[in-house]
Amino acid sequence: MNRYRTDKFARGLIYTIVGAIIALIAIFIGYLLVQGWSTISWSFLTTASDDGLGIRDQLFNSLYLLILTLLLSFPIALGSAIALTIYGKKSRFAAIAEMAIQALSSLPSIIIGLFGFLLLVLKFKIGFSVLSGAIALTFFNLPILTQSISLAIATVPEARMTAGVSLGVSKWHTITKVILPEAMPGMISGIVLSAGRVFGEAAALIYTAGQSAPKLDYFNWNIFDANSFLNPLRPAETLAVHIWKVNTEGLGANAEAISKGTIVILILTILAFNLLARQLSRRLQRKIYH
Amino acid sequence: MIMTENSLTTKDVKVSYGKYESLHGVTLAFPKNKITALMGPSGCGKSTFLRCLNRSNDLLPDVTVSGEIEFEQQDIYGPKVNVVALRTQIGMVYQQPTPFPFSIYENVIFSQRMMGMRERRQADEIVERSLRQAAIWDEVKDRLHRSAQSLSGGQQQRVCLASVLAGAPEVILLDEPTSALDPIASAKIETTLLALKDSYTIVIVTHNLQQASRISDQTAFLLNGNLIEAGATKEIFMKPREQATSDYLNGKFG
Repeated sequence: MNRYRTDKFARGLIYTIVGAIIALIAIFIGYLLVQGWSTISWSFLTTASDDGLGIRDQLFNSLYLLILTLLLSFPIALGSAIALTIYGKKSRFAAIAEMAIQALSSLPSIIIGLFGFLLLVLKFKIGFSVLSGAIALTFFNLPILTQSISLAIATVPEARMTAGVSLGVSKWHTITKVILPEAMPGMISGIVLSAGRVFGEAAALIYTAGQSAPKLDYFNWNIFDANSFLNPLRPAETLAVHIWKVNTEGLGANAEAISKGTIVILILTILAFNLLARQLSRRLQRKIYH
Repeated sequence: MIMTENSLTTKDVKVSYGKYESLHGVTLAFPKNKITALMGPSGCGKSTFLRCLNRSNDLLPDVTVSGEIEFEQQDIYGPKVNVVALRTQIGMVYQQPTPFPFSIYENVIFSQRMMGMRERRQADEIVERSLRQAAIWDEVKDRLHRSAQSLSGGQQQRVCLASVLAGAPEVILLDEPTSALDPIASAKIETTLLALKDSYTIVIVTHNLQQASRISDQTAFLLNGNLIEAGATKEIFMKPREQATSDYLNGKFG
């Protein structure tokens, strides 16, 4: 009965550890939610910070930056993932590139932020702007996104390529019509999870997208106007940067409440991304195999 | 047996993986509308040789193929060859069934679609004809739009065969197509192949001796990367010229 006992003990231990971790997360998130809940209101979400305690523009800036970042980083990441996992498979070049990507993925984001500040804001004179922020976030996002897309492609059986090619289908068509669709669920969850990381990033943005949120006009579609919500060359403080700024500057009596409320919105949005990732990739998976 | 016109001929074909030569010069002709069996123990180079015939070795890094392989008066390793087009003419079925995660219908028509086939009726015809030729039409005709991966292994293998046939090939290469299947499914594939040889040249790699003797017209025996002997299947099985062949047939190794 000894082996049986060991097994039971090990299982108990594992369940306890998992339970403890879940409890910890629940307490953590619960605490933040309870703390910030009283701040959340319709007007908190729909007014500008200039007019009081609202975070409307920060919320929009975060989403806008996220979309621009994904538009910039997805094509590059997809291309490099295809190059590394299919065309350059097992080549020396791929090995070196993978090492570089791994090194980049552990680069502290403040370094990326300062690099972006020197290169984009100062050298290229783009200034504190959505564009500088999006490019800095692209540096930040590329390694992780490339890795997760590579992983998604690697889960597709190698036989697909040989099978496609043996039918007289070109390598490119086999990739675009067979391998990528099959890798899609994995890619989607990779994209959405990286979106969560991008959405919550502060350090890379402080010196690139800037720390001010000029009041935006959501009906001004002229992207060259300074107050147009679409203008990519205006400074754009995001939620995460807002939290950082409110806490460091601590202006006004409401600073603490604003910070806590913003944290709640940030966390809820990131949780929503995670749930969305799971749902989307599950649905796609079902679509592919049935 | 009177050897008719040859569909494919190889001359002194050698294959190396990196510095290691695994095939040491194979010269063999594949007569048109006949079934040729390549047999030999595991690691003898028969699959490697087969993969040269439609250049699917090209996909592996570090492979060098030398010698000549002639198909329709043209060296398939020549500089002007369109490899993608070549592989529609010389199709391949693998050991493990390799259907795509599409419907049965889309699996069969896939290569044609990639070549620009749009017309619905023509596609329907090709799908039906190919599935009939692969002797699986009756089993799947009511569920053409279900996933091919929901079929059994033997059915999947015949759908893969149908996909190859849809490209209207001259030559069909099969790499141990039945070794992952049960005897009944294997027998169905064998019957299918016998029916197909009137229209196609077939090359099958197998280490199942009975299978080679049942369906092939010509048999080649490979050992350690060398072609030991090749000839009419009956002669190879009844009175092999080489001691190694006879030992293999008698189960002394392999």
